[in-house]
Amino acid sequence: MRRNRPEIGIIDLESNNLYSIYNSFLISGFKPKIISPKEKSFKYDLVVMPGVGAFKTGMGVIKKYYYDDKIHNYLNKPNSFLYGICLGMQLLFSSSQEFGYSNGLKLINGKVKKFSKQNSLKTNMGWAKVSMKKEELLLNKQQFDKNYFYFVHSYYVSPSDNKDIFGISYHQDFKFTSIIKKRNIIGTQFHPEKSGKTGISFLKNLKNSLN
Amino acid sequence: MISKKPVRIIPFLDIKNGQLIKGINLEGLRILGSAKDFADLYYKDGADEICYLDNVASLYGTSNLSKFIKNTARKIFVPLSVAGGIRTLKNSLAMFKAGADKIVINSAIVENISFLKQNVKKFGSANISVLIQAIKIGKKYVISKSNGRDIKDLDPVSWAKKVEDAGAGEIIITSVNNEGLRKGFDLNITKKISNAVSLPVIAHGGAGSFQDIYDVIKKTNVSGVGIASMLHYDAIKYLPKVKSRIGNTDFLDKVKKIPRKKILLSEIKKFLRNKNILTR
Repeated sequence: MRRNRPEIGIIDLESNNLYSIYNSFLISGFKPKIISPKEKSFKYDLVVMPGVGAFKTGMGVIKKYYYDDKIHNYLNKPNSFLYGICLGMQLLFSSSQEFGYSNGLKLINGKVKKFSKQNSLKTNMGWAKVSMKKEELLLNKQQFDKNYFYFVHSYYVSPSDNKDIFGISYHQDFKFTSIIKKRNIIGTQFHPEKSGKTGISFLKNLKNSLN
Repeated sequence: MISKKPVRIIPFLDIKNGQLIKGINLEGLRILGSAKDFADLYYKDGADEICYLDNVASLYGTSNLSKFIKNTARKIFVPLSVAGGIRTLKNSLAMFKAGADKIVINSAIVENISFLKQNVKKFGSANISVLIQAIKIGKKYVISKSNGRDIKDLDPVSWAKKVEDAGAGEIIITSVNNEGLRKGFDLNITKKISNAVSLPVIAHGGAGSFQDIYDVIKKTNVSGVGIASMLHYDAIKYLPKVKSRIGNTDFLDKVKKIPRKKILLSEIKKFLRNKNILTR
């Protein structure tokens, strides 16, 4: 049985905007807590892995505190749910080409790639719409199709399996995956905690889908 | 399909000890009120981002800025950029931890560009903005660090290219000559820089009317516009009176009595939309 206020654990990758993540989940009806590196196993309704920063550095922190093992164990439990935000979503993938080659958590098949010369702007920074490809309780298509979400990234995910792609967005004329979902894992390239009222509604939807 | 991004309208808040301050040409600062109150108001009114600039931070070294960032981040769910006094990776980390989404660096990299590279490596390009303060002397442009106090004989356009190569994710261009005057942006230098780099560029310094904002969007290649005085002097009327005993607040008592036309952020966006500029 889920509680009314789902308890969430936030993974600290040591370069995150944890405070706004914490606050946005708090006002969306969650009971957030920052995960301490000392916790041996995760006992939460939802584990959030937010990300600001570089892939290799993020993976370094994950390895340092054995978060990779802890996440794998957690995901095997019933009623577990993992949400990766921005870099946190990218880290779920097999590998990244950021600063050379790095391995990821390998929870989602695919690669993290850099926006190339075909984009005159190397960084996708600002507000963009998200077309949700699949209708689910979690991702209420109707509600979000007209709204803007906030993005800031120079790398994008390229999932190998089309079925993992739940939302797409555009950076100039380049189409990229902005929402992924696979079993009990979801990831968004956008920052719900920075997407104003739209982002808060998104988190409230996520909460309702967990209850 | 080319999807154009809505232009970002970004209130710029100069702060000192949590108070919003404002000067002209970055000098002659006066207190306008609690920075947090202004930020709250702008968030509710549709600001696409908020930018905090701690003007005196680079004079006095590291600031207690993180406390104010924390207070602001509590209620504001749009990106928050923070400039001022960032000289070490530890400073950068403190800002991110407090709730900053992007850090803005100027002085420290004018002295040592490898500091920019270190930040990019640790925090990722997209979260590092570089502030370029352009000063026009005669017909020539130079840059300034420490808010106009120190001038460096470097061409802002070639400096912009250099910071792009070093991995900056965004460039904020402040025209020091126009800053605080509310007579329009320096379209010349803004255009040159926004054409020279393939990074998002934010124009700042000089917004005085809706038309000024339209002009800089239409005539240059910017992704966003930073607005300060124009919004603040209007917002004063809607906010509680400042309680600070520090600094000169006489100005505030006077300005509250002057009736003005409404210059709300949402009004700016409406004006732009009517002229076919995409806004959020």
